[in-house]
Amino acid sequence: MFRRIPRVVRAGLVAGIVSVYLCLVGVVGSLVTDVVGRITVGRVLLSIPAILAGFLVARPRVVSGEVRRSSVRAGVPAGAIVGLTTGALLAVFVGIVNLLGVDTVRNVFIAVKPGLMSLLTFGHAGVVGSVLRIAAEVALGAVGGVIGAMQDRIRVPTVIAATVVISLGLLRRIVHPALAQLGLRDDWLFSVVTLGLTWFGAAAVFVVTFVTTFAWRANSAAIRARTHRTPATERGVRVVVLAAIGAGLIALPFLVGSIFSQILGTVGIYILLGLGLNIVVGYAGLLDLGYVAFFAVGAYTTAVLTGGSRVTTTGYAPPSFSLHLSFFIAIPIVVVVAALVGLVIGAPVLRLRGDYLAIVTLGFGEIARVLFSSDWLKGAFGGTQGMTAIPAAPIGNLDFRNTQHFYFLVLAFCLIAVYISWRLADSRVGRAWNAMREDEQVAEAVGVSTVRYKLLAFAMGGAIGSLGGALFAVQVGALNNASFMLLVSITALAVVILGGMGSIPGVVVGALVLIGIPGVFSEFEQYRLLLYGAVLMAIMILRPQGLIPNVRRSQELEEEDVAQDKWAGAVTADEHATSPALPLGEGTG
Amino acid sequence: MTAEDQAHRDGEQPVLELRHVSTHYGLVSVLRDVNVRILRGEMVCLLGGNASGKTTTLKTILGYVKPSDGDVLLDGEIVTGLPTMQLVARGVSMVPENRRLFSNMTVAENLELGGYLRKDKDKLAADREQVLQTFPRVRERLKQKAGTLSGGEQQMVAMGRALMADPKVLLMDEPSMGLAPVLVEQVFEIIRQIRALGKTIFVVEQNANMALSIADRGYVLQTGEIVLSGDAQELLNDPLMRQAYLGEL
Repeated sequence: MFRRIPRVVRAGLVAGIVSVYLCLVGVVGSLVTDVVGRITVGRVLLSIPAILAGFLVARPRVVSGEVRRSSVRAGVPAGAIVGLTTGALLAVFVGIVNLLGVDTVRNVFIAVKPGLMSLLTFGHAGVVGSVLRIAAEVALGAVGGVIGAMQDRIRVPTVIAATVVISLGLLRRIVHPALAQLGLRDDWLFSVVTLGLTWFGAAAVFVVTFVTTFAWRANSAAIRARTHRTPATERGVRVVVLAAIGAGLIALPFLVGSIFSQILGTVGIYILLGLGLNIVVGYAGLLDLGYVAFFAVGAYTTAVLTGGSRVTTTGYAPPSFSLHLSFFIAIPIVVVVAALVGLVIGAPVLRLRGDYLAIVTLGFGEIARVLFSSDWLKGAFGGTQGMTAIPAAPIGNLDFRNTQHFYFLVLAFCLIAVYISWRLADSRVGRAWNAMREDEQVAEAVGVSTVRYKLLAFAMGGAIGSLGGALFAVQVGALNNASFMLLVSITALAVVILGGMGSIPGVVVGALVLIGIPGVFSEFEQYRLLLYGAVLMAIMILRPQGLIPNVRRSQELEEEDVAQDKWAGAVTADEHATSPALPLGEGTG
Repeated sequence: MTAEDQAHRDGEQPVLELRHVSTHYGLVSVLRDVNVRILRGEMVCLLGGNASGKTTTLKTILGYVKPSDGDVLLDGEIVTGLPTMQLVARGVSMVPENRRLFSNMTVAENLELGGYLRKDKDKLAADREQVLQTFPRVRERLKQKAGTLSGGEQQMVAMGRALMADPKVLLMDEPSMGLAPVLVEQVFEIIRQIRALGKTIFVVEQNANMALSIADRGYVLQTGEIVLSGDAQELLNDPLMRQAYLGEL
């Protein structure tokens, strides 16, 4: 049915549904930060579906084996029809809301407010407002159509420049202090009144980005061809790049200020969780949904060992067992405890695989949270009230309660974890994990002790994850069970999946995207889960191997069947045989 | 092998022996009182139709399942129910059904994993060289992902992987399973080459003709019991053999 509707209308319908959805969940109405001039985030987001749909229908595509490009002249009407459909759906939405009354609808969809309706209809009631909305959507769709129909060399810089402008409009809080730090004025860029970009600033940024990208894309190939690349210069380039990254990492917290340093600290904690989970899931192929257990063990063990207090109804009290170790002396103990917990969790699930393993570990994660907050262990961990006054870990002048200093502590731990992960991947142990993940039974048949290596994966993964927990304890100074919800496990897993299973750079990028971006664009904080869902769905559809895939893992996903098909093909084609190969499977002898 | 030789070897200690082995899956009896003797340098085949208990026999030897009665002996030592890894370490190596290579690792990595438990690095290198000499095709493909090889090449890698463990006895689970007739011949050619290296081989097969044509001796398994055994040539000519094998008794 849906397939028989013309493509252009179909795109418009999808865009319209998305637009209505954005209105209903409140993204449009409640995000009122100004991006450029008086245009709020909500308005920008509302305009994206139509532009995107127009863009997609006008984009070059392959029709029955041939690339078909639409001219700009064809792109405009196509985009306009998309916009018309989108606008019509929005008009219907406005009509229904008006018919039922805003208050009635609001009983269910609390985001539907008079403000939202006036935003949709440009402040005009009745038919005029709906017509204005439709006209606006037609214009937006046409813009999308134009962009889509443009030639690559213009289209790509346009999209990049627009993205940069919008991002910059949301980033005053990070850009302003950074520029001030460098002694630069930015009142031409950011309006002092709206705190968004000024129109002049936006135009300037757009032009500069456009020209730079355009010039780079036009000339990069030529420049690369001109520069001679010998192994020596390659090495030189690598050293320079590494030095630049190093310098950037060190300068970063001072450039971005303390609020964003804190976000970076949290990103670092999730990098640690991701790296640990990556060993369990990415390397060893054991799907663990209860990874939060290690986060909790790391955090609570650190609290107990460094002398945190329990929160009681009458004030603070020391836990039943308490040491006042320095953080850095406590850390090795924390790691050992977490590794032991890994063994304890790993032992009973040795025989489980896939879904069953996931369900059981899910339970373990929840058990850990319940135990730490239970009345039974109240004396040790403070029950539901949790623990507080966890000491920071100063070295000399560095006080790690200061977010900028804390960043360096996290950075150091992350570097250690990256190094360990990297070495493990390429070791004898890593190869055993690889073999186990690919075929457990055969791995055993070549002498890989799956018992030993599964336990090792849980222990190693747990140890690295516990570092994240320990740092979390130091970062916030107080713990209670709300910090150890299932969501932590899910987020850590999402970090691993988004980046690409088994890939170390993938974990870093995954954490930056899933923790860093919502942190930086704090407008979206309340829509964090919506964003996660959208991002993960997009990844599953567009790039199932992850953003920066581990070469081997991505092949596993893609080529599982290809190898068999190829084999069957080889049997029939190359060997001139008649019967195709039987599908692989367990035989019953 | 003449009858005299056979008589001479009767007193010899087998490399691998199954003594009165019975295996159950839950309450279901799969193997009943199975006796198998494999001598050094011999190639012995275990024949049987579907669900006759062939694969279970291998699983019992390798410790994937524990026999409910009887014993598995390796060089006269009881190894019944030991973990698979220990059996591999003691010199039992298997070429699994359908090859089952680590298809996303390179051929070289597959071979390397075959010798995973070995400590004797020098001998390992020599064995690797021997494998590569036996299968020149494998040498050409060392850096290629195992999954991208053709079926015949994959079979060579699977055999090579098993040989890398320098096994006392090499188990093969239905090497001809699911292969086109032309490839089946290729596979048995490969097995013949391995035999020429003087390896002790225990192969489980449905393709009785092929297996018996290159084996020394054979056992015929039917619904979990050995119904026939003897010299390969004799078995080939035995009229009862085909009946038993086809399950028409």
